[in-house]
Amino acid sequence: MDKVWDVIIVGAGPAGMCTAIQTAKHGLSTLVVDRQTEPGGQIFRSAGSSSMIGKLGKDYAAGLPLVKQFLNCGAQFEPGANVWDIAPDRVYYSQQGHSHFVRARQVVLATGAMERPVPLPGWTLPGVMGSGASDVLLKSAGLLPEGPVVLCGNGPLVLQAAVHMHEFNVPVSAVLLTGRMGNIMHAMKHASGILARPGYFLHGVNMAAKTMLHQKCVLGAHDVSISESEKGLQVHYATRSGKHRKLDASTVLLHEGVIPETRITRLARLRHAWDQKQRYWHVDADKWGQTSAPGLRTAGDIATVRGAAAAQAEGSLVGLDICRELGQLSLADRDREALPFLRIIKRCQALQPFLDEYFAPTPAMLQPHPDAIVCRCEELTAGHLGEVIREGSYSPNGVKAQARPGMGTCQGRICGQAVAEMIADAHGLSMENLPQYTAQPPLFPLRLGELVEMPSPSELM
Amino acid sequence: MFKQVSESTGKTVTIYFEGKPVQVEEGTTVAAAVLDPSHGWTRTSHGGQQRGPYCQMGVCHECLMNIDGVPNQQACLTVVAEGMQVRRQNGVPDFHQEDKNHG
Ligand SMILES: Cc1cc2nc3c(=O)[nH]c(=O)nc-3n(C[C@H](O)[C@H](O)[C@H](O)COP(=O)(O)OP(=O)(O)OC[C@H]3O[C@@H](n4cnc5c(N)ncnc54)[C@H](O)[C@@H]3O)c2cc1C
Ligand code: FES
Repeated sequence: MDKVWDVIIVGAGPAGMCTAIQTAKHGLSTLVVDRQTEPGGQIFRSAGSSSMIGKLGKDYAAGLPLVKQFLNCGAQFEPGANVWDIAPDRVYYSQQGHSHFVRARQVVLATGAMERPVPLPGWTLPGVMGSGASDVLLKSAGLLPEGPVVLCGNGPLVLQAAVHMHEFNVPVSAVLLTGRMGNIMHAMKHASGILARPGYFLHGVNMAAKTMLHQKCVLGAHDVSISESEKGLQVHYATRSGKHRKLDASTVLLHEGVIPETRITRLARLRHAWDQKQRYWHVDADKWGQTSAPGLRTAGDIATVRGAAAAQAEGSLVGLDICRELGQLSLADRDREALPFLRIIKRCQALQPFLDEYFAPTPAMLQPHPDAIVCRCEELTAGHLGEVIREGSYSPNGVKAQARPGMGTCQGRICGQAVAEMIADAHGLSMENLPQYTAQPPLFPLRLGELVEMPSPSELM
Repeated sequence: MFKQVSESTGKTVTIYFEGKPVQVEEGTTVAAAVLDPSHGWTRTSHGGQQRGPYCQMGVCHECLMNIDGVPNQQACLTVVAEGMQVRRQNGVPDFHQEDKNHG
């Protein structure tokens, strides 16, 4: 137990796996922990065991060789290990009801992103879930909704879901696309970026074309809400010309893009930056993953959401630089080995401004309807929180103290950004200057007994 | 509500949702296993609203259930095991009860 690992990596998604592959290859003792029971992260969820591996296209199939390489790379993998506190040289996690404490010379947070929670009336009803959540069920359990489905949102994952529904004969009432029509004009300013990744771009165009061809698509849908009906659920929306429409559904899938899940990095008090285009906070780290805290690095979506190819390349660079820092690689060797990964990142970076503009979130979507429950845990509506904010709350922590959003079991992961967007809008503040909810350990509710049973760090030193 | 589009591996386990047996594929999470038997409703909020798993990735905590007598378990992060007893969690989680059941 008093072993000090060279490297501990939190998260076995594409980024974390690639970091581990590099550090283990260069002889560093490497521990990887992930709360999921299998490596893969979000895009490669269950790729090592899924019977869907050959059925969901090339993007997903690419996960199988990577997962195999990771499991054979020499790093120790601890599945089902949920990290609840972190410092530059140590990690605390809970696994099967018991907590553990591990130490390392370098810690890497490759903890990924989440779907942007965008509250709307009725989004708490059973039968409504994230489109990414449905993707998880498909990859890990081979499950798809029976339908009829209403898909609603903005981003490449909406198109991917629409294509999957078509391929597996799931009836879809409609795909409500909430992106702004004007986004394409802004995106075209960055059209030269397409040349950097033509294959990736065409794959996206292909998904969009299939969606348009096979599904009833509503462009510029807004004022979306969901209610219960005799048949299950009913989705209400307004068209671009302002007409109000209704659709029946048994499952409603929502998706408004992907944002870094920064609770763990805020807990570590790392410096964050605000991305104005995609509207999210992310860790401010250099290309080697070095954050504002020496010894603590980040890799993948937690730093910037750029998809699986970039996450893998970033993870590899972080691994290589750790090898340099811990004396396994000379500077020259690190730079030589880094070259192919730097090239991949350059290509991803070139296309990213186009994608960020094209799938930019719609500002009106980010200001929830007064009836929408913003804090799902404490059941607080936008109407109520809006009053508290207008009465004179200027920060998420202030609103939290007065009205309790963020005090429930999810600890503000779901309402944090929505509350901040409401404050920024109500008081004309810029998001950049708004402090987020303060994160405290443990990162999720723990049994008291579990804490008591754990050997205290001082006993281990 | 949900349908299986993958072929069965033939390896199943039996779990109990609210006391009723449910046969599910080995390796499935509890959240996936009870989607249909629960009609998507796996807990009630403290105000009595029906809720179900939203994110399937350990973030939203909407999937908190009572598993083998222990409340507050994230069903989307828990894999099924033979004979597992799974129940809806109603209202505010009771942390004392949790420690008693565990200890
Ligand atoms: C629900 C969802 C579905 C997605 N589907 C796709 C897709 O189909 N195609 C696509 O191109 N992109 C998809 N994305 C985008 C995707 O995030 C990236 O493409 C890629 O997976 C990012 O890799 P990563 O390694 O940075 O993070 P991730 O793949 O997210 O991996 C992070 C890992 O860290 C673990 N973790 C997080 N916090 C903790 C903790 N406290 N303790 C222990 N472990 C922890 C997680 O369990 C996870 O396995 C999806 C994103 C989401 C949120
Ligand atoms: S479904 Fe969101 S935490 Fe389990």
